[in-house]
Amino acid sequence: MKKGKVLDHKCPSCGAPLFFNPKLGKWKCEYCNSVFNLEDLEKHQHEPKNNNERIHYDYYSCKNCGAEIIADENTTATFCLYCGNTAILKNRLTGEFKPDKIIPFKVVKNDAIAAFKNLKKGRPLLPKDFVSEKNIEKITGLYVPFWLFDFTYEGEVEATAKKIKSWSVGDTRYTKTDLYRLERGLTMKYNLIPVDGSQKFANDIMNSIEPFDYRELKDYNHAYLSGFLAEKYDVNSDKALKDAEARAIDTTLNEARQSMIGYSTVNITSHNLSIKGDKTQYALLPVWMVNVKYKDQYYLFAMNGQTGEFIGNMPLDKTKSVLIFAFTFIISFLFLILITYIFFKMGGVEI
Amino acid sequence: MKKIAIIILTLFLNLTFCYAQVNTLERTEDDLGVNKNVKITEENKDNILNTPRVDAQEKVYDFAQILDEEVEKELYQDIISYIDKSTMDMVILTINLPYSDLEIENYAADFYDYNDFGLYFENYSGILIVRNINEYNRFFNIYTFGNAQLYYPYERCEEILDNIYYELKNDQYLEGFKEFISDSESFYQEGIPDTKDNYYIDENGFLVQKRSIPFLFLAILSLIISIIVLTILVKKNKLVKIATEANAYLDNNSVAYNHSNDIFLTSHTSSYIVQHHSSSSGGSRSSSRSGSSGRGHGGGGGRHG
Repeated sequence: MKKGKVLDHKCPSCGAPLFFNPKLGKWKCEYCNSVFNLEDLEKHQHEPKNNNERIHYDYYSCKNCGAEIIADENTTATFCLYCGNTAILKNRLTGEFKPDKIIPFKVVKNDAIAAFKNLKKGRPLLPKDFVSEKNIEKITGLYVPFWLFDFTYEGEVEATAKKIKSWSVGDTRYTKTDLYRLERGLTMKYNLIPVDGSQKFANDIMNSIEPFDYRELKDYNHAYLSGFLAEKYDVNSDKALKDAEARAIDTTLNEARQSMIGYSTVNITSHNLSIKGDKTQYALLPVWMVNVKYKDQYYLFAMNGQTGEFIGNMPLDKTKSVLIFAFTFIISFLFLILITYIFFKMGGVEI
Repeated sequence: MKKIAIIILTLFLNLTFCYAQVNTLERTEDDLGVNKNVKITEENKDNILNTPRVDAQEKVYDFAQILDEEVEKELYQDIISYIDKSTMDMVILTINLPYSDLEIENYAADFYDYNDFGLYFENYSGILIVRNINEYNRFFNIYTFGNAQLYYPYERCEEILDNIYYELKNDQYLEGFKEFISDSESFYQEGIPDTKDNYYIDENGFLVQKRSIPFLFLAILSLIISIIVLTILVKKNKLVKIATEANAYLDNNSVAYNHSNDIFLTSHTSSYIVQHHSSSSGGSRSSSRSGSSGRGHGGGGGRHG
């Protein structure tokens, strides 16, 4: 194993660790309260010399205190556990692993805690003590690697459609069915379909925190990583593209179906669509990962670090579930009996 | 001598077989002679005027003049005995009219409804037997009113008619009507048959099937509602879902159709005859018919002869 090169951010004023402040959208020194924007930091930033270098490290040396910290092969930004200094493994953020874009964090750790506590609202089956802060084992602000795909679908969609018309003459009911073949030649462009580029994170969780507001998509800069963890992708763009295509094909066919108006039924029978890749970008998107341990079970929550969308699967209180089920059953049963009784009474029928 | 013999024989016969006239009262436009419970309409006014008005206490009305006074008295006593034991009225009616079966039924129903029969019993309950001796249609039948429809459903009426068929067909009216009263009393003692347990008489005298609350059905419905409610609440705890579409990323301005063909292939027309179902109210008025009064009645199928 080799020792890696660590890019760490220190306050240009006092040398203390420097963290990105999502609320300010700038970097703030916790010790001297100095605030810096991206341009200020770039003056002090050392760019890597060899962009094509691609080396995996299992540990690194903290520039600040010299401690050796073990990191897995996909970690690109972390902290020194001893001095708290932000450390970015710049070797892992170069060449093909250098992100094109980044959306900086906008919501802070306390927002994630508040969102977690807020889960109890409108969820009667949630165990009362689940949302206690003491159950939170770890909250991690993490830049998750995403592939963003721009592509265009072009081609033909074929469908069969029916126009059904019914009318009566005397006691005879007529039904006329006209059958059509529909052809649509179409073009549809999709922009920035995100696909999670890390195998560590479940796709459904990453899907659920969508969408991100791409208007705040910025050119990548190491400085945004300070104060947060970051990962590099381990799912290549070709594989991720297939996921994006699968999502887009359904939308494309639905759009095509909506153009087939004036019919009673429409059934898409075939399509010959080809994809034209316009652009693929590698981006880091902000996510708060909240690990919760409750009654010896682990629950993972994720919060969109930009929009605050908080998702995760919560446990069910079995006692409450049974009680609510029984209560609903009894109330609805009594209500239905009452309605039936009134209905019979109004109908002049004696019970 | 011959003349004297004929006169003596006539006197003897008159004394021996004395047929009493039915005492009727007059109905006029101003005094229709019906009790206040009868709804008088323009449609049934003529029927009321054409229905003999009688004293409802007499019970035996021999318009056909086939029962002598002694027979009437005996039958009257039996009827009073029946009325004492039961909670309903009883009427014996004989007529000599060129009526069809249905006309006889309507006549009998109007006769019961427009006089004060069953007035002192729940739902104007009573049972009436009518005997028409007119050669046009020698016919007899039993009609039931109010609660009598429960005690004497069609099957029991038919059984009574079978029992008295021989006697009435052969003009043995005393025996026939006594059998009618006796059978009626027996059936009354047996109570309402199981087949009519689920029925009652409504305010218009119709036999109506009781509707019991379908508890099992409601329980199943409640179960389904509870499952739906629980499912909704459980889903509130499950926020993670895989994305299957990309609507949010579609550039709507880019959607373009470079060609669009709608090609007609074929046409087919089918037809069927609409079946009209009878408008019975779900069987609730299963076996009641109505006379001109609008009140319901039941009865047997009748016998000719």
